[in-house]
Amino acid sequence: MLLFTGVACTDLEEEWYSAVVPETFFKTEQDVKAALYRSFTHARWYVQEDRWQLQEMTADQFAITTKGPHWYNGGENYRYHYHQWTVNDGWIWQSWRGSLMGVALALDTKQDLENLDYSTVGLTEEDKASHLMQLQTLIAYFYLRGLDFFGGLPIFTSNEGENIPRSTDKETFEHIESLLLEAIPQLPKKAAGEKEEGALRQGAAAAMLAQLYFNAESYIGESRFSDCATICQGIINGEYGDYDLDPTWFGALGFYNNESPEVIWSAPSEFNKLQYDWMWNRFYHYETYKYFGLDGGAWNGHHLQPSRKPTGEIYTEFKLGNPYEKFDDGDLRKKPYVYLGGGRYEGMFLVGDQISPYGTSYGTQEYKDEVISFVDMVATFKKVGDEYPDIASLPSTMADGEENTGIRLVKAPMPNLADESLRWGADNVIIRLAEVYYMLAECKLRAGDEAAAADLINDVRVRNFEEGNDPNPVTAANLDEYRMLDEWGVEFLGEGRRRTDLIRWNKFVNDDWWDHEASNSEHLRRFPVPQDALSGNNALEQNPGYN
Amino acid sequence: MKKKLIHLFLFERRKGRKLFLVMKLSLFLILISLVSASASVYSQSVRIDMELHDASLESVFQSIQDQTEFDVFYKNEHLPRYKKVDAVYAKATVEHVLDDVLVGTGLKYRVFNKDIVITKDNSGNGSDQESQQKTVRGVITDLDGMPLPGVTIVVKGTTNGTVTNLDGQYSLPGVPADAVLQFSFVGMQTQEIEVGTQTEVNVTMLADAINVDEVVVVGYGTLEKKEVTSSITTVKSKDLIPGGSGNPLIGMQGKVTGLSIQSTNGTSPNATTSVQLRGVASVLAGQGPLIVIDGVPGGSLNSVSREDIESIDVLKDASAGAIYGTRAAGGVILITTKSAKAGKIRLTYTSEFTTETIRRKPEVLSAEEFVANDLGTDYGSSTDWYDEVTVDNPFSQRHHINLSGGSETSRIYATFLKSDQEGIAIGDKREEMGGRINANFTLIDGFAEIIAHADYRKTNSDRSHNGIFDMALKLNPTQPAYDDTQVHGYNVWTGGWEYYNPVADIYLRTDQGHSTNFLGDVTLKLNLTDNLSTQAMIAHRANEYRDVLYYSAQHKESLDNARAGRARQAYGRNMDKTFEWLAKYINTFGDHSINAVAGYSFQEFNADGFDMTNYDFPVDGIEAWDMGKGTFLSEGKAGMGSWKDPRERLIAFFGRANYTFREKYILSVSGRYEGSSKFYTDNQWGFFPAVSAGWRIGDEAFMSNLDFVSDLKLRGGYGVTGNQSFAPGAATRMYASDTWWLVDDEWIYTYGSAHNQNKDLQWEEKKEFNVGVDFGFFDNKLTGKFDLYDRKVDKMIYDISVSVPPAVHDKTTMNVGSLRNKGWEAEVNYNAVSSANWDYSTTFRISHNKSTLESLWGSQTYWDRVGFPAPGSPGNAVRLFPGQDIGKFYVWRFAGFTDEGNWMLYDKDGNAFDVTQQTKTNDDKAFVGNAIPKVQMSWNNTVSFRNFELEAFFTSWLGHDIFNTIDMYYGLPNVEEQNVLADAFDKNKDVTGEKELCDYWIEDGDFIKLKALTLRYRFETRNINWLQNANVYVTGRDLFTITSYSGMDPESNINGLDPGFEWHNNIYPRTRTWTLGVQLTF
Repeated sequence: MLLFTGVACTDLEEEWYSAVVPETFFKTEQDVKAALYRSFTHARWYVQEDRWQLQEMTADQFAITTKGPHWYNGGENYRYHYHQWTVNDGWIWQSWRGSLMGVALALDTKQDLENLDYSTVGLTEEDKASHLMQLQTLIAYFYLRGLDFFGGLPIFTSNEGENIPRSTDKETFEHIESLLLEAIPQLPKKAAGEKEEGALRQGAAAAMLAQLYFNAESYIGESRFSDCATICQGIINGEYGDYDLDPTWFGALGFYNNESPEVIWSAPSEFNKLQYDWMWNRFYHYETYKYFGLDGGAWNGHHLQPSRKPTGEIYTEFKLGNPYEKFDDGDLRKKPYVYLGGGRYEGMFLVGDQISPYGTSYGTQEYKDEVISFVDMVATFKKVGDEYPDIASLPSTMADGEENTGIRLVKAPMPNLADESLRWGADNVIIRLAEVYYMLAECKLRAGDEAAAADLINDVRVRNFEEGNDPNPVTAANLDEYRMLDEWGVEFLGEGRRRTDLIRWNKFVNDDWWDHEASNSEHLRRFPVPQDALSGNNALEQNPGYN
Repeated sequence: MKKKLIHLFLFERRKGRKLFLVMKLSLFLILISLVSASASVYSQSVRIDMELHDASLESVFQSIQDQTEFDVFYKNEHLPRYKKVDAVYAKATVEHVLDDVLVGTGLKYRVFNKDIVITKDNSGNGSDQESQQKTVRGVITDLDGMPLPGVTIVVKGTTNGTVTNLDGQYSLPGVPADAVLQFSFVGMQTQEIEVGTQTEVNVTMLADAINVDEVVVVGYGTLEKKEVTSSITTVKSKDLIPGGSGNPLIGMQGKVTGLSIQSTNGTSPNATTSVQLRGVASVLAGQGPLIVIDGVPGGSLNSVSREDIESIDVLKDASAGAIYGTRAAGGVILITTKSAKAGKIRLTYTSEFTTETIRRKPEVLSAEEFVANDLGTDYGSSTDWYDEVTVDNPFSQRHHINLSGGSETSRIYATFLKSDQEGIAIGDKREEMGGRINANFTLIDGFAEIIAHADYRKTNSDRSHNGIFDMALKLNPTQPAYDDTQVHGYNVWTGGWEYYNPVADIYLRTDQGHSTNFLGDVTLKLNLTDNLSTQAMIAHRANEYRDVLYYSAQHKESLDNARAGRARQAYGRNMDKTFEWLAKYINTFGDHSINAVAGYSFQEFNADGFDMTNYDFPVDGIEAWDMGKGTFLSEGKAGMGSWKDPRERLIAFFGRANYTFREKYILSVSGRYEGSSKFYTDNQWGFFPAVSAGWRIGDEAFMSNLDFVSDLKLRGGYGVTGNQSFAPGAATRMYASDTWWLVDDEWIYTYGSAHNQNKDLQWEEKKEFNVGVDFGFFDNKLTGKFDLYDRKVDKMIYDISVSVPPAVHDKTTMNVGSLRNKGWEAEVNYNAVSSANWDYSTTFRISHNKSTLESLWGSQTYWDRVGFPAPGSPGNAVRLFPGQDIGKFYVWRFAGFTDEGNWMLYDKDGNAFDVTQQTKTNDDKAFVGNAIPKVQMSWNNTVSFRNFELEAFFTSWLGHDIFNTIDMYYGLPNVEEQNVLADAFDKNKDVTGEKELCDYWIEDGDFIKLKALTLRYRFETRNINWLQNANVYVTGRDLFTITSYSGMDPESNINGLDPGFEWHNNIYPRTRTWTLGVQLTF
């Protein structure tokens, strides 16, 4: 007993087992990279889920209709569709939290790496500068997205200090600009043939700066389209690394898109590693796995907004929306998705009868044991003859879904079980060269050079048609704001950008689509500072219109 | 260890005016009756002077006492009331004086050492009565049938008496036929029995309701109750309500004022308890009191069963708890387990059988009503889902066998326990097996003592979950629960995550928990002198748990995901070790007495574990027992993990001293200097002092006129206690793994900040003032106490939402502000009737507490909490705001409905608006209601008639509100394909809008509840040699509730920072439980 007390009489040292303190962490190059990319794994989470929902579920292309007993969810999905969100809505809080946590994580690692003597782990000062600038670019990216959602944010340059209030939109804008301008020259350039696997290079940082200038009018009320055009042209010219449009429509989206010359920045994905799989549950029907010839159930939630009324007529009451019918007939993408084996596939939608070479999806709800057939309409067809006398009397609103309602998007391709190692092989593309083409095109359009704009868009469009036979190319005559938005909508369907595009064209709160009536409330162009954020930092000021 | 000091009121003596002198040994009485004429050298040598005229005998005795070392004992009623004497002596012996003054009084005296005992002189009563004297024998036992050694038996009005031996037996010769025998024992009610023709008188001693000489367990020692200067409540094992799961805390509900004990999950056998003392203090994991079992701090109640408990002492105020320092902010509960008495080996067998019935359930639409209201598809069946997910008359049993006995120098108390419990939820079961050994050994003529305790407990649980009750509320009642066409017979449907068949969910999976708890300690105590002892203790606590989970290939989850089953196994363990060293000094010098202790304490905590998950198994029947065979392992999708927490240490130096002057003025000081490894280096050590004082004013001269006052004590104290209950590591910056990332064509794991570091984290500190009064009136027939406290909790520790950045994660463990709790507690006991056949005693308790938030951290002006769950995003319903009381709801105010059925709320200016026309804002919210009762009361009544005993226990809370979320989530008709409460088509039938977070859902919670009713019958066993005691009892719990609250249970959760919500998605059925118990002692 005496021995026992003698040894440990006042020893209060903490001993650690399954976690480490940073002071002893950095031993090798690999350790540096493990720390460096911690905030990138956050970014990979960040670009999907709730940020995606805020961009798409508030706009004119996607909806989560209530399907019988499913998905009403206390009216949450209605609130986003009808622009009635509140300071308590979850996606908004997670987006605020996610943006600023990204900043904080990157600042945290940046500080550790700044203090590290790189020579002790066999790396050079150039490596260090490049690593620090990658983190700086990432910080700029989180601030850029945050600015887009909320406006001005509290600006932190280190994790020291107290709760600080929000900076103005302009200050936030300038902060992002300065971060990127400093980072670009210190980042490596992509060389031809290099794979894209998630690290940030010059091209990505330049594209972010272009995005910032592109939306400057929405963010700070100043037109910076010409600055945007300069950078876009520079990227296309190869000044920031070697990029090229992919010759096929699926190259930048497919199983091997890490090799596509078009991809500028993506989050890597691989079977059982960092799977780009979050859409699976939400988009697909309970039995869609049978159609794909895979395993794993889904929740049957999201789908395209309808292009057609219950009667089958295409909507003409509004110019936006109609996402499926905005694809020209003959567009290779406007086909049911089928996996062809060997990593090849065709089509981009689940539409019509869900019968494939691998299996058939049957209904489990209203269409129990019937073959599921996804329709480009929203209505409760099963209630005809019961609650409604005929199809013409069926309403089509957010409340009127059924289990076969709406066309489903297959942006990330699915193999069958035999090729399961390819599953989730497509990386989650965050920036690709086509976006730079379209940004430049829109800048030209706004500058009055419709012909140049049309050419840029057609450069991308041509790959979507059999032997490049585009039935409806963009021309100087037909290119207007709605055609421009349609082109954005078709090429980038489901890539999480629609709300930003509508806001830039002043359509977000001023136009109608399907079941959505324009609110004409300008303050809705930004989301409110969520109540949880205000509670954590009382110094934050709420956006106008939400008080 | 609690040691019963044997005290006895013997006779009264006059010293000063009216002071009970408490003699130290009951043996004294026998000795004086046996030693008929004792010669005292001292009495012959001492000489006194006296000059008293027309004086009472008392004053003569007083004069003797004042001049000599003699104490004079006598009974007041024996003294001739009007006898006056003239006593004038010079250098006389005491005998001389007494011989003179007692002439003609019918009194005689005896001298024993330095005591003089005055008794009635019965010697002149004549020889005819002498001839009728006889010897009376018998056995004295306690309620449990345990023989009681040391009980004093006296022939009333004489000094003829004896005490019982180790087997509780006595034999008393010379008892006259008309004699009345008095049986007395410390802590027990004195009984008088007429002998008549009996020669054998067996008596069962009953405990006193309250006794000022009780011994109270305090931090690191014991004190006599009268010496206690802080707020301590003792609960004896017999006061615990029988039945239920055997959890001693649940049996204590309502029995200690200011102590709120609530089950975390109704009557589920797998529920735990949440405990809060005197309002919210430490709100993180450490909101409960520190539990000390037989001196080992940090114990778990899993390590002790009700029958093995001798007493539970609750140290309520900080002046009592401060000696436990860092962990005492939530109060301290000291549990003392029973130890064996020397004597024959006794076997006690206790058996309890319990069943329960649903007391209240949510009333949803029946299948017919569902169809009539056109709420959804009619599948043609009629299913009462609530009935399907509950068990009719679940049956539980507990068996407890105890062996106890030994010699004076080695005593063993050994227990074996087995229980099988079944909850009212389907699939909710618990099986428990365990044992305890308490051993006491005395060596070297009492110089050394070894005291050891070991408790081992093994439990196997089948777990249900409360999601099934949520399903039972909302599932379409026309859907069948069963389907013969499916192989397992349940109706399992695929698709959708919102609805599932709860019956199939439970029966098509296995969710088991296995755990073992060991607590062992051994103490070596050396009695260095009569006054000084030292002891060292080593204790070890080991808790291991094992989770085994299997979802069948036929379970909805498997079918939805097209895989054959899911299996998980997890293992974890907690290992604590404790070393403590103590020195105790107890002594009395004349009017001064001292009781002091000093010591050192070392505790270390370690925890580690691992888990694994695999999916898609070749066969279903092997369940989780062949983990490697699931296909996900070979496909790289199986899960595997392990962890080990940082080592945690607590080291302390402490001391306490109690000083008493003339048994009237009491002062107690204590302090603990303690360090914890969980804080950053600069903040590891803290000091926790306490001081308290008492004044036994009832013994003061100026109180002597108030004859009804038997005891009255004023006391007051101040102390500081701490709290450090948070996960280790909060003060250290850590890297932890996150997930994969691709670097140079290779997948690596990224590492980054594990949690927010807080170097500044400090102890939570509770500073508490407590003043109180203890009283006993009418020979202690009416006793009670009253306490008033005011405490401030500074630097409250909590995981709070913080600004990111500068923080990396959105929650930080921080000192978040200060709280103030004020309140009062009162308890009154009245032994109203105590006669040969009838006894009635009653106890009434009442308490009031108010907690107010005083400040928050830094520049923070408020803190929102209680985000209402999906579906929907209703927002937060609690805002902590400096100056506001804890328990307020922060919600919108209901202003009515529009004609269209839309909600109307009040804006911040008090104008009503339609929520579809104007967007509500947070500024429109207001603080409304109050979840904390104004008063909490309990009323205990015990009536016994001959061998029957009836105990009725009522509780009542007044002045609290409850947020009825069941109504809010299921009380509106605006749903499809989902069931709702009957209310939806009654009072809410015209409401069309989506639910609003407003005071429409807040209800008055006042109630009175018959918490427990116990009827007990004790069989006559005195003529059965082999049976010492036999009794049977029936207990009903929660038999009826009177309330206007429309939800499930008005006894809402009042613990923590967010009290008063009854959650719709997590409510175990409220039941009435019935227990039949049998107890036999051989």
